[in-house]
Amino acid sequence: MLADRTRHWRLLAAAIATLACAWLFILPVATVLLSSFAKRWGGTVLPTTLTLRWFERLGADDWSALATSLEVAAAVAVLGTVLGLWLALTLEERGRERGGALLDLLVMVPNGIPSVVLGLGILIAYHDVPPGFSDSGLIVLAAQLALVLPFCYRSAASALRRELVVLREAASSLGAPPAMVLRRIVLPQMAPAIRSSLAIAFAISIGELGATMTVYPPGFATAPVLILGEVERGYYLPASALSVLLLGCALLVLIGIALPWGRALAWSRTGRPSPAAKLASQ
Amino acid sequence: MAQPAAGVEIEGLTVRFGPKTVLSDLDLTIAPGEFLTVLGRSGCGKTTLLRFVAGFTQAASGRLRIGGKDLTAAPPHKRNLGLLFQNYALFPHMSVFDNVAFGLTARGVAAAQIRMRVEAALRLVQMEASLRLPPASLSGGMQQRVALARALVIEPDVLLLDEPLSALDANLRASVRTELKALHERLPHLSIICVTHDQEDAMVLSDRTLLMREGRIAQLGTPQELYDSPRDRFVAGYFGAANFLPTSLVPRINGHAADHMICLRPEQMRLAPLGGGVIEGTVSNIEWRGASIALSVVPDGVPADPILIALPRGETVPERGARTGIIFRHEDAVLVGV
Ligand SMILES: Nc1ncnc2c1ncn2[C@@H]1O[C@H](COP(=O)(O)OP(=O)(O)O)[C@@H](O)[C@H]1O
Ligand SMILES: [Mg+2]
Repeated sequence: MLADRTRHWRLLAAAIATLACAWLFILPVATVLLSSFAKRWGGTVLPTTLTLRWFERLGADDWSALATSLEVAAAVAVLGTVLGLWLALTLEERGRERGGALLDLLVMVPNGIPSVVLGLGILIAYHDVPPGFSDSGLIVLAAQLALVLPFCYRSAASALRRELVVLREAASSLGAPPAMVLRRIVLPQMAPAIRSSLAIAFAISIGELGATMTVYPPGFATAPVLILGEVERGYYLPASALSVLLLGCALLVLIGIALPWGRALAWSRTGRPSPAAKLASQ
Repeated sequence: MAQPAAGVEIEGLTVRFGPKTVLSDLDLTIAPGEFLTVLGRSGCGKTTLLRFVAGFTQAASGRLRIGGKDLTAAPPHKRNLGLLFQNYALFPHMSVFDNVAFGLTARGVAAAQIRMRVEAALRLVQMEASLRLPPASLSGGMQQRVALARALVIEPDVLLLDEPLSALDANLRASVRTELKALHERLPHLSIICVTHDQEDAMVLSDRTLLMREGRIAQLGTPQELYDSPRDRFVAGYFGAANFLPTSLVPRINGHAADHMICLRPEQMRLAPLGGGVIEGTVSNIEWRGASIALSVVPDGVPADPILIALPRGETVPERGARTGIIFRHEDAVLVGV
């Protein structure tokens, strides 16, 4: 009786959560997807005629913005993850001393700063120092890196559990120098954290607008910047086409990151079939 | 696995964590091939001592020599020690084979050699059948054997064991203990330091036992020495069961300083008819222990805890509440400081 009632409540909760998800996420995405294929959309619930027109009309600008977005996101993901890992590992070693907690806090600070303010700060601080820096795409990279670093650091730091410390000690007691401990123990053990760090940094970067808009130099644009420009001019349907492409690319990359590559590499030494290999053979 | 035997010398070791002194001015020499157990209450610094030898704990002062070489400042990976962690610390993302091979890979041993030596090490611990399995698929006892093989395959100068038996259930404990003893006999050149909080481990396994108390040496000697001639009341009470009685009961030592007592083991006490004992008292508890029967007798007039007596099976056991006399041989009484 009681169990029955709790099950009802659970079902209701699940239904509400599903609805909320659909309303917040699936519906808008579906709308964008649909509108990118719509010849015209207005006055009817669903578009009347489907077309590839908006995709065919995408110009060199759009394609290069898409490429730029992917390049920047990839660079931000890799650099942010490496930096986050490095920070987490060094802070952990200093952890027991007093400086550790303060640095820990400092790394988190960009989280609390609005991205536009962060962008402005970077723009002013690095204006022409080093020369040409603020005129190149590097400044966008720097701004986005500052934005993603707290997330990358946090996922790396949370993976440095007590058990990992013991494994590292075991490895060094067996004669492994620090570099080997990092390569054979720490990195494979942190594979899930590295994956989530790559994914979150990539996802933040590919959709980033606030800091990017503040710092981007002339002649440099990411896909979101372009999309926003079209929306401001009222071109919703062409904006949808570019959005769908951006979404598709981001999804592909995120799926790529989520595949269990780390375990594939670790087990390949012993010749055991890895999950990735199994997946590939299906 | 033949190698020149290496002894361990620790000199003036002091370790502090913040304001707390965990080890103070410890001197310890372990002979080549010796099996030393380190015994003591939880928190007395046993693990810290082991971690200092392994190179994971910074000492405030002190020196470490292994095989005559000064290793005080050497990083852990240059010490050539076999370390067995309390929770085994097998690498979860590597097979049993790769776990055991790890130390050899780190030493740049050729692949064919690695294969041979890993297989030999796994045979030594009877785990050769599990070569390709991930550690998580093994039971606790099996994981421990693999960890032992991993520590032994590098032919360490010293094997360091931190409570190797405490994670095992009672039956397994006894058999692993026997195996450890056999291992020590098979590898006579290997010095072993084994931390434990179980006095039975110390009695069964060790050539010598180091009993620690709050970061200092309470007593260092063979298990028999600790049992038969404990230096003080702490040692006597920790290493085996003991009765402490006033010195006045033994004329030979009577008149000795008031800060001493005599120590008698339960098996050194015998029952006597009323009127014929050194002490008289009332039986307050009777416990059957298999090989013996443990009696507790509350003594009359003597300010002491109940006296424990181990009666061999077959002797007449008095009833609870019965009055009885107790005797012991005066030469068994050991004088201990309080
Ligand atoms: N890394 C550390 N930082 C601070 N205190 C520690 C650390 N390691 C051990 N201690 C303290 O040192 C004392 C001895 O610890 P340990 O050597 O682990 O004892 P045992 O192994 O005998 O139980 C304990 O009080 C413990 O709290
Ligand atoms: Mg301990």
